[in-house]
Amino acid sequence: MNKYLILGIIIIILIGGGALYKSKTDTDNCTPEMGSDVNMTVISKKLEWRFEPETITVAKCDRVTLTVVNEDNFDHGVAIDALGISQRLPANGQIVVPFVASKEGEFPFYCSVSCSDSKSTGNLPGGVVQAGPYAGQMRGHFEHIGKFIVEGLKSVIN
Amino acid sequence: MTKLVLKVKGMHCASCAILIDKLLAKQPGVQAVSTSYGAQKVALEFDEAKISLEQIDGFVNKLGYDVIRPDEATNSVEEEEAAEEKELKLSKKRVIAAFAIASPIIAYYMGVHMFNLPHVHEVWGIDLNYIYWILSTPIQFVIGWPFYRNAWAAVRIGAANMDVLVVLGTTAAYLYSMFGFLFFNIDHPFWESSAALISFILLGRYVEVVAKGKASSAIKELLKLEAKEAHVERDGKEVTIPLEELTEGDVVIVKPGEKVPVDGTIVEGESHIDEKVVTGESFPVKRVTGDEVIGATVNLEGRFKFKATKVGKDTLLNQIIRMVEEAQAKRAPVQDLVDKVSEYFVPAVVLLSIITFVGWVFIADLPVQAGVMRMIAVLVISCPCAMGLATPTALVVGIGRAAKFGIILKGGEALEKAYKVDTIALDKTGTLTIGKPVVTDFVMIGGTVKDTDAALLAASAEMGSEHPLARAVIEYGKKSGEVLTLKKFEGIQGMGLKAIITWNKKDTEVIIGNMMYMNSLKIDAKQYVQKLEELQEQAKTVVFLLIDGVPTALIAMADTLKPFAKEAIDELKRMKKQVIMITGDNEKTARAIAKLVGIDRILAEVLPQDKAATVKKLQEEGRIVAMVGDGINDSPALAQANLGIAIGSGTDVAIETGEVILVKDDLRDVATAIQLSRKTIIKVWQNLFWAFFYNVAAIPVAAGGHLLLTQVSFGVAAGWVVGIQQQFGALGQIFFNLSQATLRPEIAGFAMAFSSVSVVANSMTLHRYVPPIEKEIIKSKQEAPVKA
Repeated sequence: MNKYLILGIIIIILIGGGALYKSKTDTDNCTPEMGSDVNMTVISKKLEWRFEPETITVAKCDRVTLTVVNEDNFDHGVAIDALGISQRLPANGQIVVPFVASKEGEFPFYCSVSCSDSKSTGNLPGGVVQAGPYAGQMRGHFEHIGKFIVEGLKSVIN
Repeated sequence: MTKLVLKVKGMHCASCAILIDKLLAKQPGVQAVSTSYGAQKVALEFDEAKISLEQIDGFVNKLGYDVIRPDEATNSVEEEEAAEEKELKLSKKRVIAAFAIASPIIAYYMGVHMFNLPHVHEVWGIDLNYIYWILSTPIQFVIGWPFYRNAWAAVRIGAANMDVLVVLGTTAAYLYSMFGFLFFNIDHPFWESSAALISFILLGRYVEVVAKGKASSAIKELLKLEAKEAHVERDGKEVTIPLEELTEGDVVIVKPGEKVPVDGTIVEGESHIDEKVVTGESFPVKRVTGDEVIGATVNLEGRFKFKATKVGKDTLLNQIIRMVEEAQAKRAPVQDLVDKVSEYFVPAVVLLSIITFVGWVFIADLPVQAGVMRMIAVLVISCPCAMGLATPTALVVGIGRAAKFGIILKGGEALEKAYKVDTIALDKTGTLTIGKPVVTDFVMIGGTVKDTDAALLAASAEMGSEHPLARAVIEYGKKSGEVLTLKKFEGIQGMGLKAIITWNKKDTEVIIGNMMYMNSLKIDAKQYVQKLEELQEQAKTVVFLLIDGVPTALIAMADTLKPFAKEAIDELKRMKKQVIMITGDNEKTARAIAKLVGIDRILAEVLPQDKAATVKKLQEEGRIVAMVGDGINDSPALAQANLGIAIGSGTDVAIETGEVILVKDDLRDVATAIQLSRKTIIKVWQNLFWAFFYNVAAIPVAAGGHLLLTQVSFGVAAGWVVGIQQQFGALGQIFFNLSQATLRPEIAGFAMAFSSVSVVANSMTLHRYVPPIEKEIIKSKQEAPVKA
């Protein structure tokens, strides 16, 4: 049993140490008064493998309520790795993701569920997207990426 | 002290063997314990006063395994096969059930990941996650129950085996998926990880059981060779009795086409016997009255009677079976290393997975989910099973294969040593030569005694000697009349003998000995040296005969070389081994024989008791020495050598001392043994490399460590990756996708199961391996009838 005891102690130290490290180094701490409430809607356009809008900009510490709509007959996902968002977006459905934009920077927000491409799905003529800004192009899961920009604190900018 | 090799049932992974070793070694009274997963056997040495076999069995039972005690042993091949068949069927059922339930999940995720189909997690308004949840649950907890049982057994005694990892990995995946989809709308549940992983591990284990069954078939085949019944003579009548009732001293009748039931000596009749099954010798041998016959060999033509000398467990066949069993249960030193690594591996992996989690969640500030996913991938991919399988499977197959050629390798240690040997020391008499010398020259050199009388006196004196050369002199002298009675006899080892014989009604002193002896007796032998050397150069052993102190004759004897001695030595030299002949003969004779067979280095005039010291001297030169010998007098040298090779059926002592037993009396098997050992050890290292390389390479990828190189920020590919993507078209895109992805747990599980299977398959290829020298032997035998 000794081995497990030692292992347990090490694990506790590791996790504890990690948590401590995070709390000490975390400069992203936001307090309610540092940001404002922002409501946004992003649509995953039907058979276009793109989000609309493709770029979302908020300020640091904003309390974002992101509504994501899926127009497709199949699943998508929405993920922003840096902010720990990774959610399923059901076919023809919508989800509401509330979060705080705690990190400053430019991050990809992308479809996190493998969702095929214009060549193999939807019987699209020529295997290309038919509508929108990318009409005539071949698109798919790996192009299904938008930009999520978190600007500096509003209070600082002002 | 009791020493036993027993079968263990229920082991399913190399870690199980370690577990049994660990628990039993702790018990008072247990001196030594060595469990082999490959052979499914445990070699035990224990003090019965302190611990009983029942108690040991009890301890092992607690772990979930079963030791088959001798009192419950079912030695019958059929029963054993039936039991194995049952085990195999059960494993098969488990695999089929697992895949039947898991297949919708596997098919769905395969479609998505491999055929680029879009995810549709909903059919007719039902979320597929519910279906997957229902399907995964029985796999995880019913079909996968043995994993929990074994993991718990291991944890209880403070050990860690592969099941602990499987349980941790799959349970984590299952719970994460369940809570994630029920409460957190996660985009990636791991249903496949739990269901597919368990299915694949079960499949891997099933393949292992099948492979192991094949690997140990060597013994089963040997057991099948035994005759079932024997015809014996009782009160002048011939009765047929089961083999078990046969006792020592029974006179057994063997008819044409029948198997010789046990070992014995022919008392009436003669025949040609096919001894291939036991000795590997493929030509039938003629056996006449007085010759020994071996149990399980086939009587080809004549009808003969023989007296049983060894029955039951004492027959040569049973001795061979026992040796092979013990050899397969014994572990190679390299395996100790592997076991140690495996044992520390599990805790190390648990720690690594925690570090992965801490790193991603706390340091890189990723969400808990991303950390958990990578943690699970690490747990799943790290199964040490392939590592634990690497050595035992190769050894079991290698030893079994050697047995087919009539070579018994006593365990992994013998194999490892055989592979390292660089010098082969051969005993001359009985090893290089047949060991039945004959007198070729009887040269009178002085005195007044007639040559026939001299021969008779020499023969009479030799009656007291047990030296192999004595027989030659006796046979020669007998032609001149009845041998005379010895009055006094004194043998001087390594030199000769001195005897007093009453001849012509007076005591006559007869001395037979070599030059060394003459010198010690201060006999001036200079004038005979020329004749002596002339004979010695013809590879003859020459001794002086002194009658009443007068040099009377030179007796020259020659021994016939064994067939294929030269071929064997050529092959050994081709393998870059130095071949050295050790003999008690003088330098000249030894040189002449060495020249005949192509040996470059000889150590002559070595007294029998100095053979071991001579081997030691060779070792002090930095050589790794294999000693090949046959007789009792070779035993100390066999023990001293790095590898003792006992040739021919030999003496029991030599067989006990030797680590390699060549059942056939064929020197070429020395080369076969070394070649086969080398091949087996190479397989072991190959297996270890693949198993180890796989774990070392896969763990960082599973942990997502490669992302540190391929991404500059979260989800943002590094410049060099984008560069490759743009420059290499479709290939670049594949590289880009791979570099940005993390190893999904279900793919990790598949890769892990695959590595186990590939290690077993690699070992199985040894089954078909034929050493180069054996190839030549087979070829020459095929050509032989054409020439005739």
